[in-house]
Amino acid sequence: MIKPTLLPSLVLLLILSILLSLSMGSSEVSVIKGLWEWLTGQETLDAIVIGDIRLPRTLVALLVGAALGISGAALQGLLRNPLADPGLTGASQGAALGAASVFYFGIFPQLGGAAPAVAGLLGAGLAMMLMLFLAGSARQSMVIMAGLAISTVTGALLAMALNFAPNPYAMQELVFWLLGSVANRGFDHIWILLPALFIGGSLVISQRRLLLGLSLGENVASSLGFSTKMGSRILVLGAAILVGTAVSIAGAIGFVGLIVPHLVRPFAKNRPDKVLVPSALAGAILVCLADSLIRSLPPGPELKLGVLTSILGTPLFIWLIWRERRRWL
Amino acid sequence: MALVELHQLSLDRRLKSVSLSLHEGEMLGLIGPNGSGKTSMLHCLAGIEPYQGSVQFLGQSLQCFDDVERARGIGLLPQGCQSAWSLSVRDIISLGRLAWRDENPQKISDAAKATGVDRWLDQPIDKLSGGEQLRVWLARVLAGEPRVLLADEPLASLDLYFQSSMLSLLRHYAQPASQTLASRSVVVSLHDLSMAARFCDRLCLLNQGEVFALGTPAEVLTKQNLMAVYQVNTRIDLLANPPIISVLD
Repeated sequence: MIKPTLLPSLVLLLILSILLSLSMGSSEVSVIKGLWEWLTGQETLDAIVIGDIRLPRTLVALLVGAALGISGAALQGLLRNPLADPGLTGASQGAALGAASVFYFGIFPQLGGAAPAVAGLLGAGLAMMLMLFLAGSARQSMVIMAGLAISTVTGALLAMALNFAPNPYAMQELVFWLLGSVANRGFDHIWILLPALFIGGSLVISQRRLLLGLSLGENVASSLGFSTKMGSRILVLGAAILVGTAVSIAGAIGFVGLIVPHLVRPFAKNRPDKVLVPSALAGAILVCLADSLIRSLPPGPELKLGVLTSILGTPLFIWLIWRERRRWL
Repeated sequence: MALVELHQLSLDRRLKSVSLSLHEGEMLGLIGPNGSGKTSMLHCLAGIEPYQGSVQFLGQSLQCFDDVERARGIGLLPQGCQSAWSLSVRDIISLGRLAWRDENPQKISDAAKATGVDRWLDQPIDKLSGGEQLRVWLARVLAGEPRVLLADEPLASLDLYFQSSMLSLLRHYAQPASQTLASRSVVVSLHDLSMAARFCDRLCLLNQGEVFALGTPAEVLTKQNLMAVYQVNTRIDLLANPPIISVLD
C-alpha cells in the first residue's frame, strides 16, 4: 500500500502549478476569467492570451514532463538500476536526429510545424528498433550497451549534420531546438503528445507486475510466471514512444526522467510498480514549474528549458552517484 | 504418486540424461561438487531454463503449462537473492502471490510466521542481516504455496541454529500436518552432507551433470561414492544422531 496522500497531493500540486504557469507572462490577465472565456468561445484579450498562448505551452510542458517521468520510472525498474535514464535507450538521440533532418532536408513539408515531431518519432522508433535488434534478448546489460552504441552513432550523425550546416541560421535553429524548450508550441503538438502518452503509458503500466517481480532478479521473475523477454520488450517499446515523442516536440530536456522517480520512490515504499503514475504526475509538475521559472526571469534571451533542468538536475545526479557509491562500499 | 518426473533431461554440457522422480511428501536432497549441475537442474525444474528431454509435472509435460500455472505449482528459492529496491519485508513476501494475482494478507502473514520474520514485516529488507534476509526470501516462496518447492543452497549465510531450523521448515513443508492440503514435495540442493543425511528422505548425488547415485542417504553416502565424486577419504556414521560425515586427511 502506498501512502494514501501521495496521489491527491500530487494532483493538488499539479493544479497549482497549472494555475501558476497560466498566470506567468508579460501581460496581466485574469486566469480563471480568460480560461472561461476561451472555453465558451469568446474572443476577448484574456481568452486569446490564456487559451491560445499560455495554455498550449503549459499543456506541452505537462505532457512532456509526464512522458519523461513515467518512462524514467519504467526503465529504472526494468534495468533495476536507479541511475538509468530514458536517454539510455538511444531514443532521445534518435528523435533528435530525426527532427534535425527536417531542419536540413525539409522532409514532410506538408506537415508544417508538426514535421519535426513526426520525424523525431520516426527517428526514435528507428533507433529503438536498431537497439532491440542489437541487444537481441532485451537483457538489461545488453540494453545499456546497445543503447550506448546507438546513441553514439546517432550523436555522430547529428554532429555531422551540424558540421555541414547549409547556413548559420539553420545551425542556430537546430542548436536552440536541441537545448529543449516548450515555447511556441501549439495544439497540433498536443494532439501528437496526448496519444503517445496514452499508448506508451498503457504499455508501461500493463507491465507493472513484471517490474515488481524483477526487483528480485530475472530468475525470480521468470519463476513467478513472467515472460521477462516479452515484457521487457513491451516496456522498452513503451518508453521509446514516450521519450521519442517528448524529445521530438520539446528537444532534449535532461534529468527529468532520471530524477523524478527518485523523488517519488520514498513515498511509494520504493515499489517499482507504484512509482509509475506518481512519476508521471511529478514529472509534469516539475517541467511545468521549471518552465514557469524560465518565464519569470527578466526579459532578454530566453533560458532554454533543457538547460535549466540540466543545471538543476546535475547536482542531484552527483548526489545520487555519491549515495550509490556509499551503499556499495 | 510422482509429482515430478524427469526423463533423459539434458542441458548443453551442464546436465546429461538425468532421470528421476520426485514423490509426494518427499524431501529430495541434491548433492554434488561445485559445477555438478545442481543449480541447472533446479532451474530446469522451475521451467526457467530451456532443456532437452522431458519434465512431467502432475502427469503432464511442464511445457504444456502456461507460465502462470507453472509458477503457481512450482516455487523457486534461488541462490544469492537480492532486492534492487529497498522494499519492505511485507512487500517482498507479497511477491510470492504475484502468480496468484492477489496480495492475500492471511497467506503473507502465515508465511512470515512460519519463517519467524513476522516481527520485521514493516522493516526495509536491506536493514536485515544476511541470514534474516534469507528467511524473508523463503517466506516469499512459501506465500505462493507451491506443490513443489525448489531451494538452491538455502543454508549459505545461516548460523547453526537457523541451518537446522530452515531444513526442518522445508521438511515440514513437504509433509504438512493438515491432511486437507494437496500433497507437496521439496527439492533442496545442499553442500552439508550431514545435514542432507539428517533431513532428506532421498539424496541424488550429481557428478559432472550426471546422476552418480540416487537413493536413501545410506545408499548414496558411502565411502566409495564420496571418494569417486569428491576425491576425499571420509568417515561416515549415519546411525549417529545427528549423522556424522567427516573428511579424513
